[in-house]
Formats: sequence, structure tokens, C-alpha cells
Amino acid sequence: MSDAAGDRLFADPELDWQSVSPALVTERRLPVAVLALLGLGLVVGGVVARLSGNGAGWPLVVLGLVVLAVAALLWWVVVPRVVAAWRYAEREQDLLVSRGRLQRRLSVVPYGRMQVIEVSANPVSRRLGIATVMLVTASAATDARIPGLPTDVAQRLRDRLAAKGEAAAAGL
Amino acid sequence: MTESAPAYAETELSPSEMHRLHPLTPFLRSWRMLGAATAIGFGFFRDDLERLKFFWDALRGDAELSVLFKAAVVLFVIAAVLVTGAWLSWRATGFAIVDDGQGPGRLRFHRGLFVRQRSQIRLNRVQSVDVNQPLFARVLGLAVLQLDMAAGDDASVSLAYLSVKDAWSVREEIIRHTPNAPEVGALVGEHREDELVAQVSTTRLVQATLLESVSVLAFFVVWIVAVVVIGIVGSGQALLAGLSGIVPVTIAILVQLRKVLASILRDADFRLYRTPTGIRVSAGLTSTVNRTIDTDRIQGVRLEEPFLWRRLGWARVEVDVAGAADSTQAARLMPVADRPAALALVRSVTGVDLDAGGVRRAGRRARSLDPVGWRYLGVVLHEHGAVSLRGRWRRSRVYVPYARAQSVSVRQGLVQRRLGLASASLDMPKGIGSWQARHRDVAEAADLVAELAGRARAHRAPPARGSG
Repeated sequence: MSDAAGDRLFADPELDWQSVSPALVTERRLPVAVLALLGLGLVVGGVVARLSGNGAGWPLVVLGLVVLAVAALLWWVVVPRVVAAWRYAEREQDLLVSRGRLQRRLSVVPYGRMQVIEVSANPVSRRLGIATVMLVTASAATDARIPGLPTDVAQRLRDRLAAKGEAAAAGL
Repeated sequence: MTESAPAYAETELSPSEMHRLHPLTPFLRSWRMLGAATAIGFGFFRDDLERLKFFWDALRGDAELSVLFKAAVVLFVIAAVLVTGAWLSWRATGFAIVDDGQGPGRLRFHRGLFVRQRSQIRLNRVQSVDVNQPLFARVLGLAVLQLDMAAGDDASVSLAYLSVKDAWSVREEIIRHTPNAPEVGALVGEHREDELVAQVSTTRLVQATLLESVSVLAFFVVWIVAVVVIGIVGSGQALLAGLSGIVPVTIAILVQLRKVLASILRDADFRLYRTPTGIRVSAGLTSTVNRTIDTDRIQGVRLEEPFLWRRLGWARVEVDVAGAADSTQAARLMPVADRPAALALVRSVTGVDLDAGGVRRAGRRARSLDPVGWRYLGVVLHEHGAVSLRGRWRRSRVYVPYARAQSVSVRQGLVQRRLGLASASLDMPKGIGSWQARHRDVAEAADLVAELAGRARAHRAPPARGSG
């Protein structure tokens, strides 16, 4: 219905939105690849069972194909879209993080409320040269996480946020 | 703030300036262990004890008596060791309030028999000092002094056990060292001088609790009747079938009843006092709790009206306080009161009238997402905080101050997207029910987010006491 309004809410065109690195797609596809391998294994197993005359091979093949289809959907549709929908914008006084495709979310975190800014990277993301920046406030409900930032961008963002946080320091 | 020992190692407290905890502490501390030892001992000697079924038999043969004797000796030795250990550790435990004129007063706390722990607490970081009496301590006339520290410091320190009189005098001594001392000074002399604001009679508390849990109780009655009827009328097999279901349901009901009973015990003899910096709550039948609530630290207030209370015009008030030790239990500010009194209470601690007009209701489109309660969803933005309303049967109003909001978020699911709705919320540091503006029109949600974010930014929490 009024999707234009929704777009304006979750991705205000007047703001300078930064998207995350496409390398995040690669990282998020990794578990999907594992799933795809599992599906493939099921299909092969089913076919082998069938050929060796054990009979009950078809259910396995069907299950494997379903798994493969799900993996394909995740690989080509879901992961790229989710990653594309993840973005952030720095405003004068606060940071905006917008994410989600089916369920859209937007978090507005005033710089003064940030307690810790965490930059982390698991082995895979280190390989890909990306890192996750996470803002921690006194509230566990604050959900401001920006994954998939190129390492140098992440570090600069962290420093910038830290400086702004200090300037706006407003206790609890 | 607890600082580690080295810097103060040379100023070891001498026994003369050290306050000891109450001498009964070791027994109270080890009563669980004693119980466990008894149980273990009993298990260990059970076979032998069974032979003693008839004491007269035992008297006839020496062998059995010696077994009993052995058991008694072993138990006695275990008990003696435990109590001695506890006593030694009690001897090594002590505290002192030090005010040497340099810097703020400090509470120094020594403990540990083998691993010595020397900690000290800067008293200007103390947020509240509560005197609690758990059941067993209460029987012996003892109390636990609980210190809550400013957020970010080690959450709390408890001095257990002190005699009730000592606990109150130490509390006053500590309060004298907190930054607000001058205004407090005149009043701390005697805690009983705090002005009694409100009190809940036990009759009313019981009525209210029963009314609130009436569905469980009704179920309980129906269940008992059903079981009895099955027992009388039914054949053996029907009874068996009924019995198979009895155990889990009975357990579930008992758990609920226990909750009801626990809440009555906890809130019994509820008294509310006004203190210079806030409010003091004293409550409890078996274990008494004395909780000081600093109005500056309130980060959420909830007014609840369960369905059956509304006819009687009753309401309950709960508060959420920053840095409180027992975060599991939202503090009851008033377990049950007449609605106007409850509203007045909320107004006195937050300055906000929860019944004020200007409610922005959710629109008709919310109906398909919340067919029962959509009419009752709403928000009010006040100057220093916001109220959110919800609940058709059980009405609840939550007030949060902007100064404590950590971030603003808004989310939109698939259905909401189709309807052009979104839900906004204020993210608070843990809480009793969150502040939410559910199912608002998207454009309105956008305005709300902008407004809330702006207000949250503009309102700063007063700095934690003494943190500067």
C-alpha cells in the first residue's frame, strides 16, 4: 500500500547510506554451501542405493533435491538480498542501522549512549578482509550491528564513532 | 568500586578497629552444610539403622548400639569440623568504615581464611543500602546489609549477618558518607523517622492476589472435583486413566499455588516510607526486605490493572531501578492500591500523570493484527518521558524517562508492510515490559522515531552519584 512511506522510514533517501561489502555475501554463502553439499550427498546416496538394488532410494533423492532447492534459493536470492538490505548512516547526533528484508528493522543509536564499540572478525571474515562493528549500549535490546565492513573502513568507523561518543558523552 | 589489596596492604586493620559480623553467622552459614552432612550420614548408615527398627532389639545386643554410637560420633565430628571452619572464617572476616579525611569515606571488608581478600568500597559510589532479613536470619534476629553500587562497578556487596540493630546503625553510618549526606544528615539518625506514606493491609493483599489468580484457582477447584468424581463413580480403569493425568496437572497447579503464596508472603506487611532521596519499601512475612528506591534512578514504571481488579478500581505499581541487585524481580512499589492512590504515587516518583490525555491511539488498521486489543494500544509523549498503553483485559501502562532510553528502534514485518504499519520501541537497559508503540501508521512511526530519538538525545541522565 504505502510502501513509499515505508521505504522512507527504513531508508530515508536524504541520508548518506553506506552499504556493506559484497564480501559478506561470500561469507554468508559458506553455510549454504555446506547445506548444498549435504543435499548433493543425499542425492548421490539415493541414486547409489537405487542402483545397487536396495530399493528405497527415491525418498532420499527427493529429500536431497529439496535440500538443494532450498540451498539454491538461499544462495541466489536470500543471502544477496539480506546483505544488500544491510546499511548504515551516520547522522550528526546518532547512528542509524537498517537491516532486514522480510522483517525490516531500523535502530537509531545516539552517540552519547554508546558504551562500547566492538570490532570483531572470525577467521573466515579475516580471510575476506571484512569485520563486524557492534555498538553496545546499556540496553540489551539495542540491536546495532554492522557486519561485512572492509577492515580499514571498520577501523575508521570505530574511531569516528568513539570520537563522537566522547564528544556526546552522556553517561547512562 | 572494589580495589584490590596491595596498595593498602600496609594498613591492615587491627582487630580493635574491625567490626565483626554477628557471632551466630558461622552457624547460619553452615546450617545447609550441616543438613547435608546429616543427610549423607543417614544415607551412609541407613542399612545399619534399619537393623535398629526396634530400639529394644538394639538394647539387647551391643553390636548395634555401637553402630549407632559410631554414626553419632562421625556426625558430631563432621559438624564440629564444619562449625570450627566456619568459626575460623568468621574470625577472619570483618569490616570497618574508614574516614581518614583524605578523599571519600571507605568501607573496608576483610574476608578469607586461606585466601585473604581485602576489598574496599568507596562509599560515595554506593547507590543504596538495604536491610534484608531472610527467614532463618529473621528467626535469630539477624539481618543482611546489602550495598548496591553505581552501575559498572561490582554490582553489590552484602554483609551477612549483623544483628538488626547493628545493621541499621551501619546503614546510617554508610548513608552519612554518601554525597547526599547533608540533606540526609538530619534524618538518618533514626530510620524509623522516615515518613510512612502508604501501607497495604493483609486482607486486601490476599483478596487482590486471589482475584488475580482466580483462573488458576478455578481450575484447581474443577480439577479436585473431577478427581473426586472419578474416584467415586469411575471404575478402576477410569480411575487409572484419570490418575495418569493427575500427576503432571497437580504439579502444575501446585507450582502456580506456590507462586501465589510466595507473592503474598513477599508483599505482606507492605509499607512505603518517604526518605529524603526517594522511597523506602519494607515488606515480607517470612523474609523481610527493606529496599531503598532512589527516584533519580528509576528507569521505568508500570501500572497494571488485572481484569478483575478493574471493577474494584485497584491497580499495582512496579518500578525498575538502575543498578539494583536483584534484577530478576521488578520492585513492587505498591502491590495493590486504589487507582487514584496508585496514580498519585506514580506522579510523586516520576512527576507524570499516567492518566493524562493526549493519547495517540493506534489506527483501525491495527485491527487485523491485534483484533482483541487494538483499541487499547496507544502512546503518550510527555516532556521527560513517554507512556505506552496496552491490554484489553489486563491493562498496563508503562512509563519510561527519555534520559534512560538507549536507542530507538522500529520494525516492520511482512503483514505490517502490507498494511502500511510499523512498530516503534524505546530500548531500555533491562526492564519491566518494554515501551512500545505497536502497529502505527508508517508515516506516524517515522515521526515517532524522529521525535523519540531527538528527545532521547536531548535528555541526559543525571550522572551516577559520585561518579564525577
